[in-house]
Amino acid sequence: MKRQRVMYLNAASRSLRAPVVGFAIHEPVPSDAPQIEAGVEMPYETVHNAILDGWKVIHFPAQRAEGHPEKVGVFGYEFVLDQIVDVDE
Amino acid sequence: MSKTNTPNLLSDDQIASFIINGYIIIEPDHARNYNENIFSSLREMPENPGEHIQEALPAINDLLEHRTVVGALASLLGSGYTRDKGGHIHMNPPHTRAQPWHQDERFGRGHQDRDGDHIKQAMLMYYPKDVTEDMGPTVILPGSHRRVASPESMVTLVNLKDQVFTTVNAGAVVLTHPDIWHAGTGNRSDRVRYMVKMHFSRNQQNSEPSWSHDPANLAEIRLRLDSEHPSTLSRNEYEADHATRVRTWNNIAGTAAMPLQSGSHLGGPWPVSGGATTASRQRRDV
Repeated sequence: MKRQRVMYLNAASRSLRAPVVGFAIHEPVPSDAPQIEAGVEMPYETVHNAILDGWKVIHFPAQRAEGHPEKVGVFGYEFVLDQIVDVDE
Repeated sequence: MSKTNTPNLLSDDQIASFIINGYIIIEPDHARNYNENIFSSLREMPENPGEHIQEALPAINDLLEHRTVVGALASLLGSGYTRDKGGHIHMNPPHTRAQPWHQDERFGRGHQDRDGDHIKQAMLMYYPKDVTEDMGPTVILPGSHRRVASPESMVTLVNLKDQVFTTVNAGAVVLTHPDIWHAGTGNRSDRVRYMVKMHFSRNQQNSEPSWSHDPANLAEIRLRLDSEHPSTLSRNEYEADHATRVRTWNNIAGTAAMPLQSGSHLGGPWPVSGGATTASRQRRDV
């Protein structure tokens, strides 16, 4: 059957070409949530590279309202992508 | 405790590293069997003593009075620093999963007023046994102490670029800014991993550096504060992060403060094509 595979990519800016600085992939099977692990590489250098590999962006990060100009905000800009994959029942 | 009587003060370089990365690791030369005895005492504890660490584990006072620990804390917080209430002994038993990323008590319990451009508190994490990568070491995101992040904004974060697993030798102490992003990771081994965490606070503002400072190092320190980025930042964040780091130095350096503005970070190799320095082009590209 077909199911949705979901990936969060945190990029350094809202640009599709910005470096990816964080990720989490949720497989469409019963499983534990992904967790922090040693020695893990980013799966893609940019969101654009993920698109080239067949992922579809389903959520774009909003432009952040400027708060205090000298405050460094949360980590990265969160893109949500998905792939439809075949999964054995 | 006067500065001259305080051994093992941190260097300018170590203070700069703490400002940039939000943590340093020190290795006190403990007495023989000290770490083993602490570990045995922890194993024999019937329950977690909560914040009553010194009562339940009197030998921990030797660590708190060790010249390397005293010197590091006095360097970061001034010689009049004190231990805060609270603290916790963390036990990470075999076969656990990682905690989520978090900042300790950043939201709630009256801690919202912590300053990202100062060192007013420090967190001490002591490990009585070697911590290998499979034993669930503490993971830290260098430079994250300048990011005010709500738990809500962290819930989807898992593996982050430049995260550091603090694998350490027995007896090592990790000193961090109180706002560093961290988490205990999953213990995949068959060995228990302990960590004793305590918090300390500054009680007075520095009129001069409380560490081993040499004015001749200022140019080199300034270069590091201007140019070292422990994690990838957006173009907007570069300027804010840079300013915060220099202000942190100035807030603890007293008479060794430096001008906020500097053009040195625009230096470096000429770009392949014209229009800007390589450094500024790299910032603009993200």
